[in-house]
Amino acid sequence: MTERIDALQTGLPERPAESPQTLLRDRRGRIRVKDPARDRVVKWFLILFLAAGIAALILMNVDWLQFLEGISRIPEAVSKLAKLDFSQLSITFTSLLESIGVAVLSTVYSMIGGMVLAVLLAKNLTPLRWLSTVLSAILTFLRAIPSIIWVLLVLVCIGFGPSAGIIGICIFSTSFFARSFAQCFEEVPEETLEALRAMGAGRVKIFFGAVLPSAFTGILAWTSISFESNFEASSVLGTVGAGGIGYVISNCMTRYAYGQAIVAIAMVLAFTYMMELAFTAFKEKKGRI
Amino acid sequence: MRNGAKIALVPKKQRRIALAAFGVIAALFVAASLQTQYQPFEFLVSMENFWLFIFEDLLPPKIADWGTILEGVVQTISMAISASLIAAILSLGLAFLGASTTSPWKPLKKLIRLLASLGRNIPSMIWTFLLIMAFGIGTVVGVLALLITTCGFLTRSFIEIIDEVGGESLEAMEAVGAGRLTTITQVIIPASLPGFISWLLYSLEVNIRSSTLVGAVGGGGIGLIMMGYIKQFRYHSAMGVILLVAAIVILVDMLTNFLRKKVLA
Repeated sequence: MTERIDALQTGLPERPAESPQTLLRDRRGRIRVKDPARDRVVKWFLILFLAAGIAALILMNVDWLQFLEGISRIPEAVSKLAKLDFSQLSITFTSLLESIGVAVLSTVYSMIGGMVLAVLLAKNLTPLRWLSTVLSAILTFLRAIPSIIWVLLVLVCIGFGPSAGIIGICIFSTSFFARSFAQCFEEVPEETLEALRAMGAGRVKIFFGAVLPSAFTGILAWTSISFESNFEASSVLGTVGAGGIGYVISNCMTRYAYGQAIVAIAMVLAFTYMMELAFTAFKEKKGRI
Repeated sequence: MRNGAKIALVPKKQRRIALAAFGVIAALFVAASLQTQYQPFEFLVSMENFWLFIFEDLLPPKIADWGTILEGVVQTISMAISASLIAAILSLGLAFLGASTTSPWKPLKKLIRLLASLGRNIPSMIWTFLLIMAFGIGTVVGVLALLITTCGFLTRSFIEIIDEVGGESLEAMEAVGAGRLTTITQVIIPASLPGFISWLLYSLEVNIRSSTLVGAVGGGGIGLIMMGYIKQFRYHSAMGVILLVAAIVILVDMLTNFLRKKVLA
């Protein structure tokens, strides 16, 4: 019923206002605080989302007994974890470094690959239109599969070691970089490119002289985002059988050496937290330039 | 024209930053290469193995048992949606207690920001390991692990949005003598709702991806099934599941993009 009234109200001819685009007025010519059309869409979205969430909870068949029992066991678990054990500190630290190394290498390699693909993908730079379309479809597929699953597949193929992690993360990350770099390149104004073309600059010159410098801030931002997610992937890929700090964590957990596991987890936390602080500081500084 | 009169295409300051960034990345690259002993061309040597593996072991994909797999898919999607919903509701409350403009008590604000940072900075797969200690293997663990990371992430994003509103409209509310609650319901919520929804949709996209991974290490759903296939060397079936996951991710991305256009127009 209320929906009907809303529809009636919006359907009524509005009095001519000074600036009908910016001010919404109700029947009596007063300025509306809310935009009923937009509010209705938002309201429906929220209701649908709530319904989907409740349906999901029912479909999942949550074992509430298990849940309550689990909660009662939390203090026990915490006390087990609280017995910190620093005996394996040096091995843990080495594997943290390995995880960081895998994240760095996969970010750098995929940055290079992504840059090349982005030039082919960006609509204003690509030499062949159809190539851009085909590439876009392939990259969408590569991006749809999480990097950990790629690592799993590569692991099966080439065996244990950092290479599996690097190649697996690279597959996802290259595709991610290609998409986001292409977006940055497409934001470069067409006039700039045209002006350079009119001056007789070649493709290479246009790319390094105009496109790369103006997309620079975007490239740095995407690199930091990607490095963060690549580190997350490389820190957990040990839990599915590859190396790095994730292996230490899952190994300690299965050996019931909880005190060692929590030390390793704290190291991961410390590194991700530092990274977040550094990138936030960098972003704020970037805004002021 | 003399050489000195040339107009630089790139501003000096930017050139300096670019050089510094390049230097840092190159140094990290060299250090990481030495540390992991990774040879980039080793990959090309094993290329043949790679193709053999893809075309012999992985393709064609096979769906072994539609019943189990569909159940797994439903569980995984449900995990993602319910975690997003519960996290959104919790984060909304936490964000109002943690934002500078609306927080009633300073130490509480600090505490909430700390907890949010703890939640999002530990990867969800590691949360799964910790939660298994108390809850055992199953979807409960999966939902809780997703819930903790999503809560951490959404609380922070919501706090940023609320703090962005501030400024003039808050001053106006203060001038007419509105209380804290009126300010929140009349100014802050309407102004930040689009931002909330946009982050909510993003968290849904992220959770659809991570619910498979969380599942693989003990959270149940399609991830656990896939992991089982890989451990049993049933790669054709594993590939079938992986392609199904990819299809779901692409569909959900399309749906969220559509909703973003529709709701935030």
